[in-house]
Amino acid sequence: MAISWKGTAGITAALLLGALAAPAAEPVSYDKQVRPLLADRCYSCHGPDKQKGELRLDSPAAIRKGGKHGDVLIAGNLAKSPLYARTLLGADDSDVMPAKGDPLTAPQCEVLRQWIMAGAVFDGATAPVAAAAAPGAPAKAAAPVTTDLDVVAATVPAPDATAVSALTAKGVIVKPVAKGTLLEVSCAHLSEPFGDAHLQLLSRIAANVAWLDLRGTALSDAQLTAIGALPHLTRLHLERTAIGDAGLAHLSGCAHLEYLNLYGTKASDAGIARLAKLPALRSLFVWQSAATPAGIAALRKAAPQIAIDAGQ
Amino acid sequence: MLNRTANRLDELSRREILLSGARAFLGVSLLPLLGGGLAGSLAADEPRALAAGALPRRPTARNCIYLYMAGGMSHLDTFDPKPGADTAGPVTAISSNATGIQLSEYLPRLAKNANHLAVVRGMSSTQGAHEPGEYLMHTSFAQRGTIRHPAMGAWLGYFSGRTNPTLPMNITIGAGSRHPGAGYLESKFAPLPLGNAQSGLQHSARSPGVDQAQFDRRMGLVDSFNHGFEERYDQKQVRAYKDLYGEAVTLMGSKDLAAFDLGQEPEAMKTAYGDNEFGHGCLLARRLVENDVRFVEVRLGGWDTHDDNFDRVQTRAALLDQGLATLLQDLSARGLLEETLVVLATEFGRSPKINGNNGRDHYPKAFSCLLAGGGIKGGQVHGTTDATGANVAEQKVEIPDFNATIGYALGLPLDQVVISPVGRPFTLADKGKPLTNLF
Repeated sequence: MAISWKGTAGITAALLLGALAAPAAEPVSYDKQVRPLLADRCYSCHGPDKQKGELRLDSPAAIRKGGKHGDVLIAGNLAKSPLYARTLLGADDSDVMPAKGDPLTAPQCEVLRQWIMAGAVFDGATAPVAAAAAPGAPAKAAAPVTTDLDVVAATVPAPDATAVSALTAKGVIVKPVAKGTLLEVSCAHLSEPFGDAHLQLLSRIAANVAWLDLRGTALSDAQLTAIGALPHLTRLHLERTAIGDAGLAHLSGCAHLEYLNLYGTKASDAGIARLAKLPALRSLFVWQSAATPAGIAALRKAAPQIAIDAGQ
Repeated sequence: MLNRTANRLDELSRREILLSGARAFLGVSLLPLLGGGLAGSLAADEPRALAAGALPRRPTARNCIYLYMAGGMSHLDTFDPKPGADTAGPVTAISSNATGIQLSEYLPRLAKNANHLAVVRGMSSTQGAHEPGEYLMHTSFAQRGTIRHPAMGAWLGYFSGRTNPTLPMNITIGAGSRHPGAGYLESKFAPLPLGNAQSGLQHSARSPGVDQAQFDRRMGLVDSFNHGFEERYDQKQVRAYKDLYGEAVTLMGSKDLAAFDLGQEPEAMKTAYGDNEFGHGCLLARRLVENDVRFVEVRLGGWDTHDDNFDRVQTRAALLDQGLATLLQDLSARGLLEETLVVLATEFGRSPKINGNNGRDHYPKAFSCLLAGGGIKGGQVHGTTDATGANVAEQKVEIPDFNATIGYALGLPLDQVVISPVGRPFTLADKGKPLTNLF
């Protein structure tokens, strides 16, 4: 099940392009984009003249303080950031913001979203408004990630229907993860062995793949390059595959990966040690892998937020 | 006018049933989503819920293992011990590995795995006899002569579909004939009943005298005979008949038939689960869930302890203790527990008053159930009973609430109204509210 080098590179490039297309290259600036937007649409009710809901949005300090109902934003957590979330409500919703005038345009909402996701940094200031609420999240993570798939789902376009049909024709099971555009993809019952054809189709729905089940497939270490480039991958089943440390190295960019199953693989201490850096990882399974008690203990020490199940 | 409305409801349910039929085949449920029509409306819904702080949730569990304690499990002697109370009898309580949770001394292994358990101590039922009690527990509805309601495995199939294309997605092990099965839903959602785990799936191989070509020719012949009839009478019952054959043939050709074979498990594993029917059932449930069978019910009977309660409960509890504790550990090690909701249910508890035969009688007013895995936070107790175990003191849980919690974990739409074939509206857990604090 080896894959040609050329093929791998092509798929990776395609996946990376797909991943990078959505977020803007330039970080959103509070001074240049966010403040003018707030001044234009929000200050009239939440500024020097009126403070509806005891909220002002006309200074970093006031934004940090929040209003009568608490925080207006939590860096990296869209669901807990009414400053963003309430702009998305329908025009007929009594909670929609701005309460008067036209709703924010999609690009304006996007400015708020990106700013909050990038840490809600006030230019010149270093401290974000509030730490992301995830307990045990590594404090030094540069760009806080949201592990809330439902929020991510709102930003992901609908999957490519032809790619989904092609996958299902190959015995891949594709289901939506609750409502929305993110998908649960299972390759556990394929009509033909797992191969590059599957990877290529997966790359066409890269942004949509949230749960991926590759257990028991003939997946190779090299093929994990393509898997590691799926931007919203949250749960990954690799149990009972021949994956080893070389493959795990390709997962270093999986910012949303919460669950990784390596039971019955060749993953060893060196491979799992790298997983300490995965910011969202909370559950790891290494029963019947090549990892030793010492390696597992070392990972537990390096990354106490990861619950490791080694069997027994 | 009345007539027209009724027709329309029928039409609607027919369409829904057709749609759910299509769902059973791979990926078809995605089509409306991908088509854009639905995607648009979902996109509008999502932020609304988002701002309200009640996000449309993804399921916390993909699969469910449902352990049914038939006969009415004594809560006092298992998960809600009352050491020192007059009603406790000779049973003492032991500490568990979860702070503040004590279990009966009959459950030493589960006490060591209580970190996985959410013990629901405030259960309360309205039915005090076995059959209606079992029915209510399985369906959330009172049993009546005119309708049969679906059990949870059928709902999971109806709303979410299968994840293994060749194995049935809903299986019961030793569940008996009382099981409500698919209720008023199409029979394809009914569980495949296995008599017992050890013998697995019977009659799944082609008869040795018939080779594949002959077999295919015969099935082709069946199709050609039936085709005209099926075209002319495209009705639920006709389709159900056809589906049944289709399913059976698919199952015969499945690469995953080995999932049913306990013989492939190492002896040590069988010993760990317990070499008895319930232990085998739990082990088979794990094998099936590992192969994407989504709902497996295993039954352990013998809890109807009107006489000699303590000895008999101790014997039952020993089977439960070993089977369930091993199941939790085994699922956990394989990374399956996070994705598999384990439920322990029973129709009612047993009376705090010990009767003249040293037994306990039916007691629906207060009893205990369990949830574990599948997104449930372990090491917690929901609800309390009073000092004697006779009344729910806090956080009473009605059966529909408990079932709504199962549906919630599985990501099923609790408020979606489904019209029964005779035109009556139902939701899957009646008016139950999920215990979201358990997650």
